[in-house]
Amino acid sequence: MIGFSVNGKRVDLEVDPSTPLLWVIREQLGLTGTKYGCGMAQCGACTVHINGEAVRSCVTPVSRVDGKFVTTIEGLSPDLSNPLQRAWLEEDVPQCGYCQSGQLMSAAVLLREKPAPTDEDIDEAMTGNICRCGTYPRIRRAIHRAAEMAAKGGAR
Amino acid sequence: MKRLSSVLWSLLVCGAVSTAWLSHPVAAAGPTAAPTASSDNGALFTAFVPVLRHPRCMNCHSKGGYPRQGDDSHRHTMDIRRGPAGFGVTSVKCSTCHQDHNLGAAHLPPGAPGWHLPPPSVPMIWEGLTDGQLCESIKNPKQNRGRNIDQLVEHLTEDKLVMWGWNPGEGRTPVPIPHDEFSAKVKAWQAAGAPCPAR
Repeated sequence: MIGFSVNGKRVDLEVDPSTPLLWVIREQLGLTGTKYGCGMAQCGACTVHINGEAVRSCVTPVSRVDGKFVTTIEGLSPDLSNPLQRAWLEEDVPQCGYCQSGQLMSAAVLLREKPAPTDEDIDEAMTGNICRCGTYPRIRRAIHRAAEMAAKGGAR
Repeated sequence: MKRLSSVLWSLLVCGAVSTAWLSHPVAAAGPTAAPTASSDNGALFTAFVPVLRHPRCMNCHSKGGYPRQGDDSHRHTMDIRRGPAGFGVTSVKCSTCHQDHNLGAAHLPPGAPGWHLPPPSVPMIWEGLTDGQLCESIKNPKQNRGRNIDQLVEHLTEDKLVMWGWNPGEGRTPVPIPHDEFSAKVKAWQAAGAPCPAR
């Protein structure tokens, strides 16, 4: 039995401890906002938080989250009020959208640690999240915009 | 912001780390071993130095604020950085991808407890050092995060992150001397007063 919190809700699961966290999130918990991209920690589409830190859930055994707090894109805010989500909408960031939940989860850690990031901070933080549509310029603008929103009062 | 070529990461062997210096508590260091006029001409040190020179060690003891990978010690793909404490930056920390154990297939991130680089404050760069300089460097508490010789030997022979060098996972070359033999050589060097080759 492995027990952990997902987006504030406690779950206890009978599951093989080596099962990738991504499978548990999507198939057992039905939280399909987190995407499967490469399965090898190369693309970032599967990024979630464990105790607030970004991880690639596709290569993370579920045993690692026993007793911990997992946040997925569904838990970033209950109503799209997170400044990042608002900025993403205002900058019209996604094209196909497949990578965007991972992009947002990485950006969330960046802004927690660096509330006013420079372009270089953004590049360093987002380097592991690939976007085949090439939305990088809009991602950068949206992160700056979210940082400004958060500085002015955060979630609405 | 990034290069698509970073996708090639999967094709490259993930070299890394035998730098578990941070995973040890930084105990009060004993006195620094005085530079030794080696009666053995440094042979006891050079007997095990091929392990320290191997990419499994050097990939995290090289110049630059980033780790390296593979037996060719190329720069870690995805522009991974050392970060302020040696554990990466913001949303790209070592633990973002690396677990505390190797994953069970080729081209997946290798892992061991405490996966990290030396911190920028004590970067422990061995690249470009002679054997004598390397020997003095690893003995110097100012360059080894406060270890005395006993703690250094324990680190070299028992630390879990260092031990990964003998079990680096599929597709990665292990360090070149069997662990038992390496440990015996390190302890013989210790017993002789940890003599260093001439610089």
